[in-house]
Amino acid sequence: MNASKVNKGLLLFLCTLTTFTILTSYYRYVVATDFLVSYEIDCDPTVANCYIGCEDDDCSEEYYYQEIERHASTLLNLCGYDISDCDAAYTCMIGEDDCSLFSCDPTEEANECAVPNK
Amino acid sequence: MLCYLYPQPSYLIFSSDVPALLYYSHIPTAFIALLIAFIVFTNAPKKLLNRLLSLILLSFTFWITINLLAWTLVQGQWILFVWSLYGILQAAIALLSIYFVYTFTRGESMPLIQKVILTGLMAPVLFFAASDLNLSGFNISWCDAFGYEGLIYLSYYTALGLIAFIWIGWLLLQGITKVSKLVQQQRIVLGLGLGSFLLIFFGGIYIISYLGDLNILVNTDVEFYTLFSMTFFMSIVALLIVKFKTFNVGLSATSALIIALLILTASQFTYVQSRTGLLITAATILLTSVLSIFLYRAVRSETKQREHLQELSTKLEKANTRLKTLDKQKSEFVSIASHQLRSPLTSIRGYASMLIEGSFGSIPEKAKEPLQRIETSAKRMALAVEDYLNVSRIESGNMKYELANFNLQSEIERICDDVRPTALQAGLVLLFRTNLQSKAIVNADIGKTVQIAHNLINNSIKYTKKGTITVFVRDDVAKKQVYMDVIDTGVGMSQETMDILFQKFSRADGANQVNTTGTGLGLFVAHKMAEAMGGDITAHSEGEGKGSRFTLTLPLAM
Repeated sequence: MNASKVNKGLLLFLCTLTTFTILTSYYRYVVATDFLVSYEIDCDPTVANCYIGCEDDDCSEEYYYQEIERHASTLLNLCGYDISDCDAAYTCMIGEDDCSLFSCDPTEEANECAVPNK
Repeated sequence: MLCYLYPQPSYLIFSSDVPALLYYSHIPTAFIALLIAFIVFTNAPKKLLNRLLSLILLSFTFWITINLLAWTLVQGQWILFVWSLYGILQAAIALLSIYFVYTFTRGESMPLIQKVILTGLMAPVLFFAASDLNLSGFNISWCDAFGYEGLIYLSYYTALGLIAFIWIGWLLLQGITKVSKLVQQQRIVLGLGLGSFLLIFFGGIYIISYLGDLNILVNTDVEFYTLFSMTFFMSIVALLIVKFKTFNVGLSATSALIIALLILTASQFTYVQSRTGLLITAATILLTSVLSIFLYRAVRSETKQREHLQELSTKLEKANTRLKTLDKQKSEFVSIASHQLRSPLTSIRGYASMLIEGSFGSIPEKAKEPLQRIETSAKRMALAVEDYLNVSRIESGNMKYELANFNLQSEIERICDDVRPTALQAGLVLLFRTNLQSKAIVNADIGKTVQIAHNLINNSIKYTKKGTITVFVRDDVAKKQVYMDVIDTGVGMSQETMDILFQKFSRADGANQVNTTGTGLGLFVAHKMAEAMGGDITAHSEGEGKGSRFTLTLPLAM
């Protein structure tokens, strides 16, 4: 096989693979929404260990939250694309796979937690 | 997956919730990169170097565009899609940079094996771009994917940037001492621009992603500053274009630079928000525009002049080549023609001589004079043909010289004895004088030397109506040279005549009145012969009517 044919072969290989990769990526993330999503949900520090967040850069006002992580397609089925007014977004459904609720772990040094008074 | 905490952008990229610096660092840089890519490509679309630079700049522009979208979009699925392409584009920039520098330094395409290596390095980035190794999720609250980037994938394509940095450095430094100073400068300038871009861009992005992933770096907009490394690289490319003419870009480069300058200045509108700032920016852009017009006009004028000179130079070069070819053809023609003439001339001279001598019986008295004229004319013609042949031999480099030691003094004395009757016949006195410290032994071709001496003495006889011709042989042992002066009291020469005396076919004004048979080649041939034997011939005269002195110089054999 001569060099020119190999050159063309390499170029064709790269172009095909790039196109395939972009299309696959598009299908996975945009069409199939096959990925995890995480977001903050409201937390009551009197009943659960909550992370403490700041409303602004100066942290003049604090808020409490927990984190939830679940599969994007599940969330899409439950709430559609906008979860701001969707109650189902704030809790894991019974029997829902890959859904986890994360509370603040005060034993970890990096975390600043609001914990219920016992 | 809407980032419900963030506002929807208008026209995809304009959002009130992103730092103004985002637009200042992204939009002008993308425009400039795109503009230079366009200019470099359109000026020489078939040149590999231009194609590669354009591809690098296009990849970078694409990277900036998707980065801008990732900052402003609020749909998680779209953000993840564009985010997943970062690795592909960064790997492409790194590997294309290697290919580009290889072509830049070697002036040819990369060998196949190295292309295979580059493809092999690129393949994993493409294979795993849509997998969890690259991106596995999205944080709706933060509207980013920093927490879901795969460290191995990220490290791999960043390492490609580092590999490119080292490879490029090696390519640029290899054999740098053997190239010209101009090429050295080009390599240093390119290495500085591309190297700093790769280091800052890849290193900065990796560190920011890594720290963002660990939640150590909350404010990730510091990545904007890494993009200014491309502005620096663009300046270097502009320098290569304007100063070194690397990408065959002419006046359009200036246009590009001016547009880039205006874009940069105008882009401050996106960043500056105060009224005073806006006024200052407006004034600056006005001033820049005016200066740009002057600069453009000045460069256009200079470029036109340069192009005109270049055109003239090319034409002159072509004409010169053509002239050389014609001159060679002429010499060949003269050589062939002269050889063809010599044989019949020999017959004419021989038979005329034999007729005069009575070899074919007695001839009438009144036929003798015409026969003598035939013989004399044939002799002159033979001499002229010999001159043409000599010129032809000299110009074609076929004149042969057989150098040997001989006594110049005795040779010249013999020539004087031979020529003296002719001088006497013309009513002239021919004197021979010497002033020698050495034995006057020279190392030269004896036949050619005799020919030169004959030529100079006969010339003096021809151009002297009355008086004396003195042939003077002297030497300068310190300078290791022997001289033969031929001094006459003849017609002399003006300075203008002396200036053209040794050129082909050059004859002094009025020479035809004194000597009608000259070809204007004798002195040219004599001068060339003297030079070829390591000597020279010079001429001197106080002016017309004041006599002349011709001096043959030959090296003294030690």
